[in-house]
Amino acid sequence: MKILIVEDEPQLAQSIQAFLESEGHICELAENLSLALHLVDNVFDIIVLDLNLPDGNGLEVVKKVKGKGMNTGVIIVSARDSLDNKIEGLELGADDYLTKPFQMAELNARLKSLVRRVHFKGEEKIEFNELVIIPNELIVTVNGKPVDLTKKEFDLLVYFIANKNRVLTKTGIGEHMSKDFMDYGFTDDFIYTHIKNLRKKLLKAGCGDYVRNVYGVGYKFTDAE
Amino acid sequence: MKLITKSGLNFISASIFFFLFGSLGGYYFIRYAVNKFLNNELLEAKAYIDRAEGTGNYKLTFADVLADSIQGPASYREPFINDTVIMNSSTGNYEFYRKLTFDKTYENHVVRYQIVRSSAPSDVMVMKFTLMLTVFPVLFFLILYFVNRGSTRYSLTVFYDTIKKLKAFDVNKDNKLELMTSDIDEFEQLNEVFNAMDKKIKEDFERLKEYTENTSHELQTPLAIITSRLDELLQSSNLTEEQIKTVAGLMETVNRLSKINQALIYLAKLDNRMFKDEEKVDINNLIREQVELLEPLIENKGISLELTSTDKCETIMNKSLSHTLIQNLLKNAIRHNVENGYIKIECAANHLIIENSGSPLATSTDELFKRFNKAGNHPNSLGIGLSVVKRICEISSIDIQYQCTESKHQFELRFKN
Repeated sequence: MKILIVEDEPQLAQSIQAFLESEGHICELAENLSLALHLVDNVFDIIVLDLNLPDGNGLEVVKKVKGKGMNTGVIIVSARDSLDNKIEGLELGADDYLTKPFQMAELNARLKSLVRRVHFKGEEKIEFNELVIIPNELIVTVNGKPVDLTKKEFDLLVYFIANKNRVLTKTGIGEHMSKDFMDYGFTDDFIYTHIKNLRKKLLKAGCGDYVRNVYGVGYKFTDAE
Repeated sequence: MKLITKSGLNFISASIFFFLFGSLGGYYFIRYAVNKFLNNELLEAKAYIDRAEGTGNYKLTFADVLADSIQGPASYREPFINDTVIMNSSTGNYEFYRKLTFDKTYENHVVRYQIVRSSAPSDVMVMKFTLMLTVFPVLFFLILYFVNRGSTRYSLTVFYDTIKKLKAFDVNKDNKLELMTSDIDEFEQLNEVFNAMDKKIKEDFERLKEYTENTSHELQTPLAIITSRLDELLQSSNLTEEQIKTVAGLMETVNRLSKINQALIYLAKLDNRMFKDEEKVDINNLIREQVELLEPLIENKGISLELTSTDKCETIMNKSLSHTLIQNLLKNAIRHNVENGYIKIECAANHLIIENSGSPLATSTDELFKRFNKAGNHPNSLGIGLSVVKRICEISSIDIQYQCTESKHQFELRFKN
């Protein structure tokens, strides 16, 4: 995937770039609006966009990209999490909205979900050994047999697989799971219960135990020993 | 005590005091003047008698004279005047008289003269004067009192209006403090001062809110950098257990920091009245939705949940706020619950009760809704949820009450229609 990162904070931009490149994407950086507007003349698959830029509002980029009818996914990354900003961004055609600070795993999950939506129209299957997930239809199968998961467990599984082999902190998972509602740190018991249930269901269906506890601070989804 | 009552009481007590002394003084003064007049008359009568030289050849129209010859020496050489009571022979009534007694010595005998002058007519006059001295001033002062009271009350309307408006003063409301104008300089000055204060307070408050929101936003970006860097570090393969724990702990701390920050931004937004659109919200539905969402947590703690709904419960408020409100209350009921406790939700028309078991409250009930006040020692609790609840209730005109007995905590909400 070819990704444009529009972010004026160099440290954060580098961090995102390093991460995305480690995931196998090709990245370009723009630290201000004029450069970003210039760069989007080329075709990108995804744009990771900060709104508060030194020389203007990042929404201009969304307007330009969507105005041209380019098949580009846009994820807005902003410190402002007010609903108005979100709605305005999404109305202009941005595909997702992420509030700072965020964890890379979250960006990664959103990115993958966006890629599926924009470039595969949601038809792509996610496969991990004996696990097959069809995101659009909320179907999970283990060795071809369907497993009955709740919406949250399903979401959690997709998140895990998107970030396989990465250490995911409890906080990060909690953030991801509670993104629908404002939550003031409530999440440890919450995610523990969900992960426990998900694990139980997968094991029962004959799936390998891929969810590893990392010293009690987080989890890792991996098939490596 | 109201100013008007106080000044009225002062006026009345002072008046009673001065009336009492005034009318007493008046009475004695008139009494004295009348006696003086009567004495003069009696002395004049004595002069007539003196001139008659014992012949009894005197005629007095204004006084009666009794002349008695007495034995022994004259005891009243000097005329003696006193008051006396004499029975009227025709009516049998006792009447008051002024009497002058003197002895006059002739060649061989002493005659005692007693000149009496009825004081009844003058007594009536004295009574009338005294009555007049009492009644008229009392009437006069009563009228004065009521006029004064009325005018004071009228002038004080501005003052009371100011007090009423100041009582209703809310720094969060954007309407201006509109005080009545008065033709009284002192009140006008007072209102001017209050108006200026109102403006100043609101300006300061605005600036503070803006500042809070801006700082909070500015903080989010550095926090994002820290988070992403720590995340990178965490993914390194050569970390020891200790290091992983440290990094994960740091990430959690940063997350907590960011949560506090977000909560403050949220509160600032509430204060800035950013949630304006209101619509009809079905509380019953909302509770069912939120209960479903929080089900895993409820199960996790072994809490039994009882939801009774006797009537449709609807209110007009912002939808997003209603979600936050119910969710925070429910989360509060779960978080401060005991293992295998209970939550009881009762939903009636315009009325919602959320009750839960829990340990007794460590802080006072008043402190409960304050920011960063944590009941118990919950590591995941920021102590901000209930102040958000309070603020939402204020904004949406919902009356919220908290009651607590030993192990029972109850929130009661009354919605506007």
